[in-house]
Amino acid sequence: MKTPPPVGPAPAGPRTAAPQVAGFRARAEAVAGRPLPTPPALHAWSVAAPGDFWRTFLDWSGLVWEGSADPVLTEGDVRTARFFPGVRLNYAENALRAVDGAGDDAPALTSVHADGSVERYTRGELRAAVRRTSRALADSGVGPGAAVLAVAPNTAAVAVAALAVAGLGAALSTATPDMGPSTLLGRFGPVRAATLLVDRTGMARPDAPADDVLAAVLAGLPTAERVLLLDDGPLPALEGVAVDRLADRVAAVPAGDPGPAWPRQPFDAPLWVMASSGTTGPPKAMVHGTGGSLLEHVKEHRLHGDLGPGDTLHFHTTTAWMMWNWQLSALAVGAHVVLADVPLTGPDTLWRLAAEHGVTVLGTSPAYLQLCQDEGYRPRDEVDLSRLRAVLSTGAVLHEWQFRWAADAVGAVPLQSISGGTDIVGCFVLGSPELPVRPGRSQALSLGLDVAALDDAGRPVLGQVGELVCRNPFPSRPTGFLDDPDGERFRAAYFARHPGVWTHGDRVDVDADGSARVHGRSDGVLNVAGVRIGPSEIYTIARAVPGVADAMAVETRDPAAEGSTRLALLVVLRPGVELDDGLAVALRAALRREGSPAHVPDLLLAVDELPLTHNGKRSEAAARAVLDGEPVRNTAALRNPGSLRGIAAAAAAAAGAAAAAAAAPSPAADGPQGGVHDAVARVFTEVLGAPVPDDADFFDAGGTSRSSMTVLRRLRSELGRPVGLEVFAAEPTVRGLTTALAEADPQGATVEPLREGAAGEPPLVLVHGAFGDVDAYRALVEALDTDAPVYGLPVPPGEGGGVAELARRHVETVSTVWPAGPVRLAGYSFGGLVAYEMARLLTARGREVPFLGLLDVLPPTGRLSRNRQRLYHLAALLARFVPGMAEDGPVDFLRAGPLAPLLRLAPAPPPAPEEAALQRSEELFNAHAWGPYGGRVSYFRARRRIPVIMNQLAAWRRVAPDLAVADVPGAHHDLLAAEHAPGLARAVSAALAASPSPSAG
Amino acid sequence: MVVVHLLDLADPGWDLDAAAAVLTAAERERAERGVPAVRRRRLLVRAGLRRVLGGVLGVPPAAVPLRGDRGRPLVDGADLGLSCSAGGDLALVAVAAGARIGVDVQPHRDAEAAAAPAEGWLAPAEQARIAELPAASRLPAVTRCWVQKEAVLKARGTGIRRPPADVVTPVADSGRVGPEWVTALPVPAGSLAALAADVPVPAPGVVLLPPGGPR
Repeated sequence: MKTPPPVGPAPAGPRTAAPQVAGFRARAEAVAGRPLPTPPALHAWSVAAPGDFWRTFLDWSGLVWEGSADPVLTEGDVRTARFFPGVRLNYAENALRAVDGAGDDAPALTSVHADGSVERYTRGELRAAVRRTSRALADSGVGPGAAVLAVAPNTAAVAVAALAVAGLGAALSTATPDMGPSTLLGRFGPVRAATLLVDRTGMARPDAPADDVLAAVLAGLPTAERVLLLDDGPLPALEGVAVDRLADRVAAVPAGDPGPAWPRQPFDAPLWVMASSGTTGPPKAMVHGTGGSLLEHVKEHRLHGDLGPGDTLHFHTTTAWMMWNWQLSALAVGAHVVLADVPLTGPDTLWRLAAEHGVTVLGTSPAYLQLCQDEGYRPRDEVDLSRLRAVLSTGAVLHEWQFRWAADAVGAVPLQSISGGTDIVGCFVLGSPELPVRPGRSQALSLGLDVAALDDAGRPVLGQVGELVCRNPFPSRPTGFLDDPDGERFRAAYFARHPGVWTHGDRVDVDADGSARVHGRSDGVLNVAGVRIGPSEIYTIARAVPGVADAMAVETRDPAAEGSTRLALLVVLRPGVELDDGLAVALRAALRREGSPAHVPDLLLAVDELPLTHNGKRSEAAARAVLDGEPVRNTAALRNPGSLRGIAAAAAAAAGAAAAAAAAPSPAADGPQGGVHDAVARVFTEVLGAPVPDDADFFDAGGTSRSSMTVLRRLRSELGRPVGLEVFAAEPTVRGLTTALAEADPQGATVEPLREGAAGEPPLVLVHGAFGDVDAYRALVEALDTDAPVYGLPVPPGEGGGVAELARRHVETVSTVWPAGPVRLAGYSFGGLVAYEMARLLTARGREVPFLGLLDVLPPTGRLSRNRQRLYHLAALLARFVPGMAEDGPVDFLRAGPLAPLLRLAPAPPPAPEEAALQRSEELFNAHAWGPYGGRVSYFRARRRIPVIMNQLAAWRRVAPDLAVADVPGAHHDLLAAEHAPGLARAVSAALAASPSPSAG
Repeated sequence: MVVVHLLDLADPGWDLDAAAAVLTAAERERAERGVPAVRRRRLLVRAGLRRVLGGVLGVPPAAVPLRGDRGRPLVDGADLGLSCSAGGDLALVAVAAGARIGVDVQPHRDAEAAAAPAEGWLAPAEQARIAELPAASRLPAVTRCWVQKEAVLKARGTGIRRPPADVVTPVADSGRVGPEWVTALPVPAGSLAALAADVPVPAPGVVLLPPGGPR
C-alpha cells in the first residue's frame, strides 16, 4: 500500500485572494508544459488530456487515498472506461478530514428546523458524532458492501447518519418522508437493503398515519430487517422488523470509543443509489461510486464554485434530490453546510435564512427566484446579505430577466446557473470564479467533461442548440443500474443514440466562449404554446387514421405572432390518397379525441417523404428549418434532401391558400369555395360528424344547442374573429352563416365618458369586459384618485369576442378620438387582454402608452382552447426544477412530489386538467396569438386566488418583462365589486401616479 | 303543479308511424327535415307531448290545440307551461299548470364539459364556484350549469337566442336564477337534467312515458 502522495490541499484563503482555480491552473500548466491562461483554455486541456487532468486534480485536491493512481483510467469509451482502478478511498474520511483553514473548531454543519430550533456542529464535533454513529450502525450489522435506506427531511440527523454509512463503506439511498409508499418503494425496492433509517416527520398521508405509511413501505421491502428511527416519536409496532431509535444506539456507545475503522474502498465501490425515472419503464436505480462522486463534487465546489474554508453553503434541496448529496460534499472542501427542513412560507424564507446564518453561497431554483420577483420582494432591502458572494440556480432555464432582477434586487453577486443531473450526480455546465456572468447563460463547461451540442447529424455545433453529450469518460458516470445484469438498460439509457458517447437527453447551446445554456429536454417533447406534447403520441394517433402512412409533428414559428409557436403536422399519405377536407377533418378529429385540443395541428401538410438522416433517423430539425424559412444547415446529413423541397412546396401552397382565404372579402367575391365558406363547412362537418349540404339546418342535421357552442368556438378559432350567437341562430346553415359572416360589418365603437378630468391629462381608457359593457368599472372609476379623464370603450355592436380584431378596431376608435398624445389603458379580465393588445398596436404606431393596467388578467399563454395548458405549464416548470428529474412525466412528478415541500405544493393536490381549464376563465374566447410588449405593465392581482395560479405572472412576464405587480382585495370574479373597488382604486391610482407624466405639449 | 315525463328514445318498442299519425302536417314536415335520428326524436317527443296534453285536457292526442311560437310550444286558451328537451337517448316532456317552465336534459361527456371554458358560455362567477368544487365534481357541474341555463332560457321563452353566459346558475342542484327557480330532475345516470320555473317547485318527480302509454 502506498501512502497518500505528499501533496497538501491548496490554500484556500479569503475571498479577496485569487480563486482556487488559479492555484490549480499553475499546477496544470506545469503538467501541460504551456500556459492555460483562460477558463476555456483550461477546459480544452482538461478534455484533450483527461488522464493528466484527473491525475493532476487528484493530487492537487488533497483528498486522502491509498493505492496507485496509475492508470488514471482504463481503456474504453464513456460507457466502459473506469477511473483509478488502483485507488482506494473513503468518502466520510475525506469529508471530515482536517482541511487547512477549517480546523476542528470551524463550523461544519448547521441544521435549521421548522420549529425555529437550530443544531450546530463544528468539524470536530461532527467527526465525533459520525464516528459514534458509525459504531452504532456497525453494531446493527451495517458494513462494507451493505445498503442502507434513509427517509428523512433535510436535517443534521440524516446527514450524520449518511456520513456514518459512507464511513462504513456501505451504500445509501435517500428520500423524503412525504413521497408516499409507492414512490418510496419505486426508489428503494431495487436496493434490497436490510436497514432503514426513518424520520417520520411529514410521512403521514391524508388517509394514513405515519406509522401505517411506514408499515406499508416495509411490507414492500422484503429484505428489510431493522428500522432505526431518526425522530424521537413513539416506537412504531412493526411486524417482522427490529425497531430501535438510532439516538439510543449512539448513546449506548462508550464515551471513549473512537468508532470503527473506516475502510478505504475501491474507487467504484457504491456510495449512493439514486433514482431517476425514465420516460418508459420502471425508475432507474443508478449506482454512483465513491471516488467518482467525491472527485466530481470536490472539483465542482473548488474549481467552479471556489468553495472552501470560510464559506457557508446553503442549497435549497431535499434528501430526494442529488443536490443534497452534492451540498453534503462541500464538507470535503472545508465549507460550512447549512441544512434546513423549513417550509418556504414566502419569498423571504431563503434570504432570511441566508442572512441569519451568514450564508456565502446560496443555491436555489429559477422558480423560487421568479416567485421573489413576482411578489415584488427585494432581498437586499429586507435582509443583510453582506456575506453572500454567489447565488446558484438549477433545475430549470434561468431567464435573462431573472439575471437583471437579481442584479437589482439581490445585489452585485454573480448569479450562476448550473445544470446536470441525477444521472451524473453532478453538473455539465457550471459557474466560473474567473468569468463575468452573461445573463441567460451558464459560465463554463464542467472541467474534464467534453460537453458538446450535437446537431441531428451528430456533429458538434457552436452557437446553436443541439443534443447535450459528453464525449469522454468522466468519473461520476454511474457504475451501472441495479436490476440490469447485462447492462442493457444502462446502455439504452445513455448510449443508444451515439454509441460510446453519453447522451444526456437535454438540449444545449454552447458558445465559443465556453458559456452554455440548457434548453430543456431533448426527448422530442414539443412545447406548443406552453403545452408539452410527446411527438410519438401524435404519430401514433395520426398513423392510425386510414390513408396516413407516416407523420411528423414539428413545432414551428407562428408567422402571425412573433415569439409564439404553432404545431405543424407533416403527413405522408398512402398511394392514391389525397389530403382532402374529409381526411383533414378525420385527422384533426382523431387528434382531438385521442390526444387533446393541443394535439390538433395548426398547419397540416401532405408531403411525399419525411426528411431522414443517413442512419434513418427522422430530422425534425431540418423540417422545422424549412417551415421557419431558415437555411437547413446540414442537408449533407440527410439521406433524402429532396424531401425538404417537398415540404417547402407544401408550406408555400398552404400559405397561398390561407392568404387567398384571408383576402376574400365575401363569398360573392370568391365564390362558394371561399375561405369563410370552407371554414364554416369544415366546422359543421367536424361537429356533426359528417358533411352536410350548404342549406341543411344545423339542428335538422342533428346539432343541438349544446353543440352549437362548440361550433361557435371552432368558428372563432378557424376564422380568427368573433362570431356571435345571434349570427348563428339567425340562420344555422353553412350558407346562412357564410353570408352573415361575410356581411357582418359592425359599426365602429364610440367612447363613453365615465368621469371628467383635468385639461391636458392623457385619458385613461377602460376596455369593456367579456360581455361588452363598461358599467362594471363604475365603482372603480368613482373611487379613483386621478386627474385623468376616464372613458369606457364599450364593445362595438355585433361583436362577441376576438381579441386581435377588437383591439384593432378599438385602436382605430382611439386614434380617431385622440389623434395624438399619450393614452392610458386598462382592462379587467377579458378587457385586459384587449387592452394589452391595443397597447402593442398603439406603441407600434409610435403612440405613447404610459400606463397599461391589467386587472387580474389571466396570462396570455397561447391557444385558449387548450385545456391542459395551465397544468403543463406548472408541471413543466416544476419538472425542470430538478436536473435529472426532468424526465419524469410532469403529472407523475407532481404526484411523487419530492420537491413539493420546496414550493409548498404538498397540501394542494395537483390540479386536474379540467380545473386548469376552468380557472382560465371567460377570456378563453379565441385562439389568439400573443406577442411581446416592451412597455411598462401594471398588474393588479386579486389577493384571493386559486393557488395554482402562482405561475400566471411568469407567463405574463415572458411576453411583458416590465411587469409591476400590486395585490388588490377580492377574488377574480368580484374584483370590481363595490366592496373591493376602493382598494383596487387605491392601487390603480398609485400606479397611475407613478407612471410617466405626459411630456409637455 | 309540474309533471315531467321521461322518454327513452332508444326503446325499440316505439312506433314511429303511430307517433307521426297524431302530429299535424306542419309538425310532421318539421320532423321529416331532420336526419333519421333527429326525425325519430322529433316525432316521438312531439307525439309524447300531445299524449301528455291529451291526458291533461281530456282530448285525443291529435286533437290537442298545440302550436309553436318561435320554437316554444303553446296550447291556446290554457294556462299551461310546456317544455320539451332531448339529449342523447333521453327526452323530457314537461307540463305545468299556471307556471312558466323550461326543462333540459343533456348527456354528460367529460371532454365536452372540459371544453366549456373555451366556449364562453360559463359566467366568471360560475367558473369560480366550479373551481372550488372537489375535482371529481367539476366536469359534471359544468354540464349541470348547461342544463340549468338551457332550462332557464326556455322558461323565459328565448332559448339560446340569448347568451347563456348571462344566465348565472347557482352551481348547485337547485337555487335561484333571477326570477326563476332551478332544480335537478332525476334522470338515468350519464345524463343530467334540470327544470326551471317561475315558481318554486319542490323536488319534482319524473314519470317514465313508455311506448305503450303512461303506466
